[in-house]
Formats: sequence, C-alpha cells, structure tokens
Amino acid sequence: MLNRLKKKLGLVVAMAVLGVVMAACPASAVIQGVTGTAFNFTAKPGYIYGGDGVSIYIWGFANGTGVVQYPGPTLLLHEGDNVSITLTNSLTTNVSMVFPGMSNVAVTPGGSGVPGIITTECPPAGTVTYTFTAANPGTYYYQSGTDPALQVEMGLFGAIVVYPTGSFPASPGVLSQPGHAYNDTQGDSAYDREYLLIVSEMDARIHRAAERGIAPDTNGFFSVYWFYNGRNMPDTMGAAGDPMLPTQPYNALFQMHPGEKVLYRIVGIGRELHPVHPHGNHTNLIAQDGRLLSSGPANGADLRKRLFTIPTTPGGTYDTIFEWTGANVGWDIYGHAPGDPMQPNEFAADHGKPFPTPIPHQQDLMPGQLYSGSPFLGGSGALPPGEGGFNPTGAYMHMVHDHVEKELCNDGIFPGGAMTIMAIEHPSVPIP
Amino acid sequence: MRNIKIKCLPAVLAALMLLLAAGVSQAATYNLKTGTVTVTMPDGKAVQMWGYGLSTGPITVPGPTLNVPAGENLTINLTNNLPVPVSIVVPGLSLGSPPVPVMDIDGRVESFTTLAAAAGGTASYTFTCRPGTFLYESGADPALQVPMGLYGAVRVYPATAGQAYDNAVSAFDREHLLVFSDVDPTLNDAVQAGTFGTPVYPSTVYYNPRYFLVNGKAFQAGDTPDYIGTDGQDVLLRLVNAGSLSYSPTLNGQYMKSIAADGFLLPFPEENIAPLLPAGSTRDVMVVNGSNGTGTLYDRRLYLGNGTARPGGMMKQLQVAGAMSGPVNVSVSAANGVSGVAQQVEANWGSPQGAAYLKNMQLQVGTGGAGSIVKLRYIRATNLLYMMNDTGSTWIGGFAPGSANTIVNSRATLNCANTTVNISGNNIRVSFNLTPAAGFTGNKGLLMYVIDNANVAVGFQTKGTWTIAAFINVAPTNVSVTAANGTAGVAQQVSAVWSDANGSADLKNMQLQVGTTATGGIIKLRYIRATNLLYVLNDAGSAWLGGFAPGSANVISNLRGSLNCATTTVTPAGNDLTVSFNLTPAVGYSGSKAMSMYVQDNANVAVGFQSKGIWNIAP
Repeated sequence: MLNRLKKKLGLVVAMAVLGVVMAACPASAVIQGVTGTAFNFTAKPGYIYGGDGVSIYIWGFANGTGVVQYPGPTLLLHEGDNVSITLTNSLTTNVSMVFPGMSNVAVTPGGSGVPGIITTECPPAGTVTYTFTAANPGTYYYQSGTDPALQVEMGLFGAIVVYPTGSFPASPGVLSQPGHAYNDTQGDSAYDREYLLIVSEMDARIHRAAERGIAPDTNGFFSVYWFYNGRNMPDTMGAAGDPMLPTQPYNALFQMHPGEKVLYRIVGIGRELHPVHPHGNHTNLIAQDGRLLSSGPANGADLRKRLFTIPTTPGGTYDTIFEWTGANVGWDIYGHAPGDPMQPNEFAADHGKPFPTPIPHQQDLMPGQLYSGSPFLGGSGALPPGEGGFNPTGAYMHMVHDHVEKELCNDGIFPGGAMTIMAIEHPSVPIP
Repeated sequence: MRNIKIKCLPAVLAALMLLLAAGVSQAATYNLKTGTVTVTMPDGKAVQMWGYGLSTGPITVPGPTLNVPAGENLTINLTNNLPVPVSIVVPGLSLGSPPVPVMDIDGRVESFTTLAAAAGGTASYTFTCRPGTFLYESGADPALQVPMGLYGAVRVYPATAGQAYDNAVSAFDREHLLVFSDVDPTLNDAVQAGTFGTPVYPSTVYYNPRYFLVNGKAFQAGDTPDYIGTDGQDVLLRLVNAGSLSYSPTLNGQYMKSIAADGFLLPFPEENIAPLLPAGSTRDVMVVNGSNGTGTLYDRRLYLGNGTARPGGMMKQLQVAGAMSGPVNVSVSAANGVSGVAQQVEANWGSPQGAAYLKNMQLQVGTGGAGSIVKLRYIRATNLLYMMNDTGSTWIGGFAPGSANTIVNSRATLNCANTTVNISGNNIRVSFNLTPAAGFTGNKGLLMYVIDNANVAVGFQTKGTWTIAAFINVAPTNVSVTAANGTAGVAQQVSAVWSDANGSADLKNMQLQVGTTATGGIIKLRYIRATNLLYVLNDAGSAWLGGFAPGSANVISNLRGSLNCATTTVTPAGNDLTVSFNLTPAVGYSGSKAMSMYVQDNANVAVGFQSKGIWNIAP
C-alpha cells in the first residue's frame, strides 16, 4: 500500500516537473470529429508543433477548405451510412484515400482520378469522390493509398468511428455519453465514456526532406516523435481545439468516475508497434480491426482478452474497456469512516479502512503540481506556498503511455512522446 | 506413440529408431543443395545471395517450396556447396530424433542440428510432419545465413484435399504462398568480398535491410500480378515471414480471416485488416475474391521502397481472373511429312499480357490414348523442351532449344538442336524439329494447349492437321565422280556425288575407290554421314584408318595416297550429297585410275561399286 502511495506521489512529483496546467484544461471528454454522410476533404501541406516546440512540416487532410490537421478529421458515422468523400488535392503530388474495413468502396465516375497501384488517385489540383458503406460498427481509419511509405508518414490519415444503430452520440463532440460499440446483446461492448487514441510516429528527417523537396529515404525510417491523437506529451493533455496548436485540434486527456466503463478506441496508424499501457488496471480488449473478439455471431466478446498492455500494430485498431474502482488497494480511497454511506461503485471490502500509513506532514513532502494536498479521491489539503494547485478536484492521475519507454521522448528528450493522463475524478465532479 | 518411444533408453531407442525408420511407409524426400545466386534488385543493384535449390535445379531465394502429402514425413538430403557449414531446421516440425546442437571450439552453438560441411558436405534430416504452413531455414549461424537467403516454405497437407488443416474452416478453392523477407545488400557484399567480420561489416548486429521482398522479389511498377483465382473463390493465403523484421501484410484494406498461426489452427478465426506477421512466423488467412480485378497486398509497416526508390518493397498485386484475358493457342502448321524424316512443326502461342506471361505450352500430335499420340512441351521460364514418354506417365527430356540433344519415344524423336523458339511481343513461336517414327503415319490432328503465369489454361484445341506418309525406302544412287588430270605428289580435289530419293539424310555410308588391285593398288575413301567422319582403307585392306571430320586438321594416308581432311568438304543439297575429297596421290602412284562408287542408305540398302570415271595421274 505504501508502495502504491509512493508510486503515486512519485508520479505527482514527475507531473509537477512537467509543468502541466491541468486546471486550465477545459477537458473535453468526447471524441471530436465531423458528422454527416457527404464530406469534402482537402489534402494540403502545413506545419505542426512537436512537444518540444519544434515546427514540423506535414501533409494532411482538412475538412472542407479549413485548416490542415494532424490527424485528419475523425469521421463519426452511423452504421449503414452510405458515405461520400470528395477529395481535393492541394499538394503537388498525387494523393488518394483508402478505407480499410469499409464495404463497397468505389470511386464516383467523372472526377479527375487516375489509376494508382493501390487505388484511384487524385492528381494535383484534381478532385476525386470516394464512396463507401459503413456497414459494420467499430473503430476504423482512412489513409492515403498513394505512396503510403511517405504519405502516411507525412500525416495523410484519420480515424473513423462507426456507431451501432441507436448508439450515435446525441451531441457528438460535446458530451461523452454511454453507448455500445458493437451490436452484441451481452453488453460486452457497452461503455459509459469513450475516447479515441490514434497512435502515430514521425521520422523528422523525412519531413525535413519533403519540405525541401529532397527525395526522402523511407526505408531508413527512424522515428523520433511519437503521438497520441497527433500531439506529443505534454500537449496531449492540453485542451482540444487549443488555438496554440491550430493544426492539432485533438487532445488526448481522459477523465472518468470510478466504476465507469471507459472504451478506448485505439488506432495504430503509424508503421511501428506501440504497445499502449494504461496504468491502474487491466483492460478488456473486446474488438480488433472493427470486429468483436467473438467465437460466433451470438456470443458477444467471449474471446476478449485481459491486457494491461494493448499491442497496437500498424494498420490495426483495438477497442478495449478500462475500469477502475480502487478495488483491492486495501484502504478506503474516499477516506470514509466505517459508518459513512458508500459512494457509487465503491469497493465495499475496503469501505472505512484507514489509510495504511501516517500521512506525511506537508513540510516533509515535495509535492508535484498535480498533488491536491490529500491522498483521498476528490480530497484536498494544505499545500506549501507556491506548490500544487493543478489538481483542484483531487483526481487520481493515471498515466496512459506507450510501453516502448524510449518513445516517451520528444526527439530524445524525456518526458514527452506518446504519453497522457487518465484523470479519475470523484463521483461528485462533473465530467463534460 | 513416438514421443513415448523417444523417452526410452538409448540402446532401445536406437533399435526403435530403426523400427520407426522402417515403419514410416512414406516420406516426401527432397534432395536440396545450397549455393550462391545473384539477384538483381529493381534499382539495378546485384546482390549475391545464398540459397537453397533442388539438386537438379537452380539456386533460388526463397528456396524451393517443399510440399508434403498427408501422412508423410519430410526428408531433406542436403548437399552444401557454400564455403561455410550449413544445416536446415523447420521451426514447428520436430526432427525424427532429438536434434544434437553442434558446438564450436569455444562451446558456443554453431548449429541447432547436424551440419553439412562446407564445400560439398552432405547431411540428411527427417522431420515429423503435421498439416500446416512452415518456414525452413538454416539452423547454422542463422543471424548471418538466414538474411543471406537460406530459407523457404514447407506446406504439409492434411488427408482431405482442398483443405490446409483437418478442419473445414481451412477449405479453399485455391491457395497462394507469400514468403516475406528482407535484404541488406551491404551484408551480402561484405560476405562476397570476404570482409564480413571486419570493420567493413563487423557483425549482423548492424543488419539494416534496404530491400523488402515478397517471394524473392521487390516490387516494381509494372510487375505482373500474381493470379489468385476467379470471382468469389475462397483463397488461402499462406503468409511466411523469413525476414528479420516483423511485417503486417494488408490486402488493399479488405479483411483477411486468420485461421492458423505457426502451423496450428486458431481456436476461432480472427478477422484482420493488417495481421502482424512476426519474424520467423507463419499465418494462414482466407480471403474471398471479389470481382475487382487487381488487389494490392502490401506491408502496412510501410517497407515499400527499393533502396531509396519508391514504389517498391513489400508489395504484390494479386489478380482475380474475371478481369483478365487468358492465353491463346494461335496456330500450328506442318508440311506433309514422312515417317522417319525430320520436319519442322511450327506452333504459335500468345498472351494479351505479353509473351513473358506464357508459362507452359504443349503440342499434341494425333488423338486417342497415351499410346497413340506424341506430346511436346515447352516451358518458357526455364527454356526447356520435353516430350511425354510412351505411357503418358511422365515428361522426358528437359533440354534447351539448340542444345545437342534428342528426346525419343517409340513414336517420335524431337531434335532439340534444330528446334527454335522465337519470343516476340505477345507471342512465342516454337518450331519443333520432329521425326515421326516408322508406323506413326496418317492424318494426325495437331492440338495445342497453353497455361499462363496466372495458371489460366486453355485446354487442348485442334488447330491443324499433319499428314504423315509411311516411309517407302528407295535405293540410293552413285551419281558421279569427277577429277581433273592430276600429278603424283600433288593434292587435288576429287568430287563425288551420291543421292537418295528419301533425302540426303537417308544416306549412310559412301565410299570412293581409286584404282584397282590389278593396276597398282587402290585408294579407298569412306564418308559416314551420321557421324560426319572420313576414313581411308589401310594398305592391307583390313581396316579403316582415320575417322576425322571434314575440315579438321588431319591427314589420313596409306602407301598410295593421302586424304587431307582439312580441305575436304561435304555439302548436302536436297537429295544429293557431294563430298569433295582433297587427295594427294603418292609419288609413284600414277597412270589411268578407274574410280568407282559405293553407297548404302539408312535401311542398309546398298549399291555396290560402280565404275563412274577415270582419273589420269601423271608421274
């Protein structure tokens, strides 16, 4: 137990060093994206910021004539939607889109498409309309089907979420709502909240070469930046739509209440293997590549796997459900006295159990900025002058990170890379 | 059973192993060799690789696919032609007896199993088989030898035809093997130059692949797609990663149903878009052919370059037949022929994909059972000619056009030396030099067959008729012999002409006699057409001297004259054959000499010495 506390305090200290302004985050506990069935995308160049502040040249997709973004706009679709995407190419090279896992993928005749090795391509200044049917619910992606060794690396990709009938968010992009990811009747894919986790990486040399018009060596790929939803830590934990990061609108800051089922929709869009490791508990991997892990159509996710590291592979998607109640920590995380009423989803066996060690006096602590002054969920306490203050709700901060530890760097400097936080909030703290 | 036996005491074990060896009724046996082969990458880089090959075939990377029928084990007899010792392991299949690792002098493992010594050593391995898809590779210094190219695939079949495993989930209409691998040309160059292990390339720790291969080939725009069947067929893709990196094959984003990994069925199939194929692993996936024509399979880890050039690398286009035009049996023709007489039979095949897309072309002469036809085959990739044996059970021959070989069965002889192949544009024209045997006569249908690289075949179609008359032998004739007045001791041309109505090739043995025993002795010359050799009878009249070809730097002499082979010429023309002997009468051999001729044909019909002229030789 002490170990756990020490670990937690250690994390808090680490977070303090990072100088993350948690309190300033209007955390958006939602999957941001675009809705509808007819989309206009533009492929265009632009720049993003690495977590170390470096500016990196990219090619990406923009919604309509908007700002290019990394990753491209997430498509939020209904099961059965017949979708069209009209792609306009503002790059100086051919580009295209493929939709792995989608049905009836076709190109509408009449555009400026030219045959490519993998699919019909859109020449510079041209326009091509791709159509497909989102036949099955699940987590998917789109990417360039042209010279993917370069164009996927450059940023021409995005996620697709297909919601089952009856589970489409009433207010997409505003609230995270309960739903189910698949059409199982067992409730195996049911969730209270959902988050998207698009995993990618970059070899900055390739981007510099592309920027300068030099032929890049994609076979010599050696990544130095690793991204969650297009951002490096610490930007992963910043606000969605941060005006400081105009081409990286999606954040990766997660929040939950104890006992909730949180669905992570993980998309391995890069070319490396990035095991995703959420702290705090195992997860239930229920689906891969948009298909329930199931022994048969009526059997739910009976082949689900209990994993604390999800082995994300290139071109694969992984749906995994995370829960946390504080079970078996051995003390009452709420600091209840034995007679107090239970919190929702509280682990009953530990109800009223005291904190197992004297809580150090604040003058004996080197608190980080995320320490609320209390070891209890939702608690707070006195802090040394000038310390802390970045966790006003007393949340438990659990890291979610790439388990290839060297990938927690921005161009060689720790901390950074593919790392973020799951903030477990007291049940009384509203989560948007 | 076998596991239990292997646990017995060594002596008993040895006896049991003998019993077991005897008890294994069948083993698929492959005689393999190792060697080097130069593979040219699409950007022109020539890489000398190590590889396996059938003992009778070329070295290839990957090595030959080893197919094992149901219920059989796999025996590999290996001959090692490389300068280092090698071995073979099949991860997932156990050797009949526990492998004994080979240790080097420092006690480090040099090989996981028995070595075949460098430069000619041999070893034999027997693997206990179960159905599945496996990788075979060198078990000696694998960090070096596997990237150098020593790998291939093993397919072990179950009892049920059309399945990959003993379970209907693996039923397929068609199967396609895809072996993934990688090449660091700097390593191969260093090994070739003898600088591996020096600062040039200190160790395989520095292995940095630059080429990424599917079935030994890095993608190049314009590559011929692999054929994977027709619309709606269930296709089994056997994915084998012989490389040193892990790859994620994806087929244009369509689902692959993974049914097995590393040679074992999965408990339940998985639907995957880009299944991970770790280094050294195998995976069996099912896909259903759409009607889209070509689908592109590529590595989602995006190793899609050849060196620094793209597109390339681990990419392979797969083609469904509905979208493709098959090969064509264009035409065949042959003038009226005669049994026993060689004749050209010209056949023409084509493919809309180009001549290089044609794979196997066959010409059948006559109809009916195997005992009444002549079947010829040309394989484009190997440039080899074959003829079906008498019973129709196997192809015989395997010789290149233009090579000094004949292929014979009881109905015909194919002379490869005079058979030509013309590859141009979309067509391959083969002009077979065929001699029907005696009795193979009458109006024979000419039927053509062709199969292309996509294994699309057009079955035997009658495209012509060849009328073969029975051979009627006609006696040969001694036509003429002429020689200007000569002088003893001075060389002179003596020109003799023989003829045969069955063609000059029917002439067998031609002789010219100068003089008679009554007038100072004879000079007797002989020419044998089949062997193209010249002779002179010895003085005693008891033996032929010489046996040299016209034009060769030889002189054949007896006491009365000398024949200079170097300046003696033989000229066949139609039914005639002219030999211009360069003859020097010896000093003292002079006067008016009668010249008489003799001839015998292939049917041993002879026309005895006939006086045909006079040669006046001055002293």
